[in-house]
Amino acid sequence: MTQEIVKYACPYCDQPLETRAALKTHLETAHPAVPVWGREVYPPPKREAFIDADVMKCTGCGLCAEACSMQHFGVINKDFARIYVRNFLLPLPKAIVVTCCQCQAEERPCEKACPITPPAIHFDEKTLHMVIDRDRCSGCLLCQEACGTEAIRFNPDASDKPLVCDLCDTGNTGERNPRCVRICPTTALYYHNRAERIRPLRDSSRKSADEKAVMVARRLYPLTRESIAYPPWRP
Amino acid sequence: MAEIKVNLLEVDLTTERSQVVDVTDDVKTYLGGCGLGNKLIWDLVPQGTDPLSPGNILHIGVGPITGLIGTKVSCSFLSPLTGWAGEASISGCIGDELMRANYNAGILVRGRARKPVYLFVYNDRVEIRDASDLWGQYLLKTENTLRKRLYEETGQEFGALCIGPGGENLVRFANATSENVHSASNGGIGAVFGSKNLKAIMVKGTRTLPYADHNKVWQLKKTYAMHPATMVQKLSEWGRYGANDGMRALLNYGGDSFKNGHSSWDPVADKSDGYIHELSYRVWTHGCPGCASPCFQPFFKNTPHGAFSGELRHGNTCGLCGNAMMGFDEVEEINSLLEELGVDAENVQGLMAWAMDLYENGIITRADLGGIDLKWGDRDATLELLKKIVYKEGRAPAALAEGWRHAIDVFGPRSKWYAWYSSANQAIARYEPRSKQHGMGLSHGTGHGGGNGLFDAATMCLFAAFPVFEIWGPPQEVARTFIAAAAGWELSFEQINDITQRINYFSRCISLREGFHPEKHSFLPQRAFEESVTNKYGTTSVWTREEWEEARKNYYVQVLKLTERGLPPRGELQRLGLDFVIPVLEPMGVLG
Repeated sequence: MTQEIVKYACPYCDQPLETRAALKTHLETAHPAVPVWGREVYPPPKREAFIDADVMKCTGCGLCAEACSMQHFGVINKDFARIYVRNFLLPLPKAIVVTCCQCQAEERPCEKACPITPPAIHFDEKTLHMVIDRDRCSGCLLCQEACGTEAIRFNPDASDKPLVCDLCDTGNTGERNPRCVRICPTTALYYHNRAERIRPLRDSSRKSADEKAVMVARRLYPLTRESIAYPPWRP
Repeated sequence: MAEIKVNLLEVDLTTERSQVVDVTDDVKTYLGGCGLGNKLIWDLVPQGTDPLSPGNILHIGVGPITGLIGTKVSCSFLSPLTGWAGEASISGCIGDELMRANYNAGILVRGRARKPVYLFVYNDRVEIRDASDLWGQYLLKTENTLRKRLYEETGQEFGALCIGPGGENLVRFANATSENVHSASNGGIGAVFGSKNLKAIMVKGTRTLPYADHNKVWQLKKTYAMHPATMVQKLSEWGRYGANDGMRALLNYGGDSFKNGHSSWDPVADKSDGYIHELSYRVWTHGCPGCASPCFQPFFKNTPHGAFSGELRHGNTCGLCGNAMMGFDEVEEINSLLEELGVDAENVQGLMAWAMDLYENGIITRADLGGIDLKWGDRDATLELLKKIVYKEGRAPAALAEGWRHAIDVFGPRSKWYAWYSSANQAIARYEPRSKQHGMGLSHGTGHGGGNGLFDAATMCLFAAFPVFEIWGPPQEVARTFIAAAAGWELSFEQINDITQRINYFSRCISLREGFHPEKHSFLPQRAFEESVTNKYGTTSVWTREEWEEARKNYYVQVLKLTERGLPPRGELQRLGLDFVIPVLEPMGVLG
């Protein structure tokens, strides 16, 4: 493993703590919480971090994607975004948000699929997020095909290179601050320190939207009406 | 500041041609949505056109600020239900996709296709495609099939607006729906689709949104999404009960009709609780694109006699359960079938409650109903009748499918006293008109079904707008602020007021042109004056004729700014630049 596993860590300062009680005491003394209506604003975590999505909380407003395109391109276009929402009819409408989870080194199929050595798409160990080296990337889109989450997007109108989540560190200076997490009105998105998770990363984060839709739809079955066609969407 | 251009996609199903028209000047004058729709009806539909003929138009209207305060689409057409101006609004993905395809004035559909078709719009690609295999299919099957087919073809998820058997069979109150939970219901829009042989409209856009200043728009969106007022609404109100939020107060204080308007409270009301519904059957919350206080609470219910899914809206489906003496248990199941057949829940439930009343009083017989023993609140009988209405089987169901006026003619004068409907040939399924503290009697008794008001014209969602009012102020101020950022047009508060007034007059003028007259067609049913009702806490209410005439006059003059007879004043029409309607309406004697 490329990272240590810490049982509890302070979301504000990443200080490792042994017990839940110690974390509580630490939070109360060192960081009195700043409540904002309906949400808590945490400072961004310091080490490897990723955007985690609670699919059941997502209502499909798409503000995350709009925040992403505003941050990277200065316009509102959900197709220019690195995070996006897919809409399923299961047969009830369900929105499923898709985002890059900044896989740990053992995973990262995009990096492995890159035909260029060293890979043009890689995890930057200094700034702690995925980057695409625009000078070397040939735009072959093998990374997009390899990603099981379908988190890498490509839109020729936005860029001739694929788009990957850089945690809103557009200048690659290490200032990560994902705007999608800030804007999400239903708090379906979390910006986690990877070390604060007990396991490095759940495999469920790497499921595709189609697979997630199948899982969500299980709670609706058996449906008896003849008209129910999905899931799965793809034959 | 840069100003936007407003594009309207015009599709003619007869000639199978399409073109993009620049309607910027019209939208500046009338705003988008039903405002532009009224203008299109006036210009393109000749006086006296049959709403179900190819001469009618169908405008799927959006506007410059669609998607900023909820995502609404306001559709305009000549209504088959009334014959006058018609308007139906719908939320959901379709509005967002229209904006992203940069058709920011919407789609205008004209003519009639020779065989069943659906309209495919993918950015620049506009195609009229064969839908013969889908004709006759239920709504969910239609939408699922089309979305799946287009996903496989283009890799994109399309926004849809489809009709079911109701629209195909030209039921006068058929609706068009989207995503199983959204529906455009008023005025019989589904029958207009059906008369054009148009099964569905599928739209997808992938372009940058047509805003004048993206930074300004984004600041507004961010303020709205992160504001405490939005959080409160999302967490405590819409986010939990959806539109059922106010049900309990409405039912207890006599805001709803029961037993076809014979009472305004009944113990069955206790079975219609949004709280029970939420705890028992809600599966998750769903919202429209861009909305930070999502209010759709889809439910799923698995029972020994079948699985049911859908969404209960307070007005359309819950408000009417009392009329036919049903609790949510029955309504959930009937609602599932309604959503498959594609008819307006409010009207069809009102008509079915009326049929129950007529059956009880011996005005229609079991043979008329095709052998159905139609008892109050009987779920199975209601489901059976619903199918018969949509497929027009049997004497009584076929008459009901033509709407109130026609059905009264068929059932005879005795049936009229029981008919619980009002001005726009529309069932009074929600909002008891006698209960004066709710003030809905005036709205029932003066409306004509046409598209009016700032909300429909600017395509703002009233449900999403409550926090917006707290942040930016009254609706005019909200519209002004958002239009300035999104379109680059600096309108003043007074200009917005004038636009609203212009739209209101305009839709009334269209209705007047098509034969509507307030003295003939604006009424409350006779029973509202003869039969008093009592709410749960013992408050009795009924209208007297004098009281009603007084209230109606005041409403015309003070709220609608009409003359005491409910006609648009000539001077105001001239002031607002609507003088071109005067030569048409003058000979008919309908100007104030």
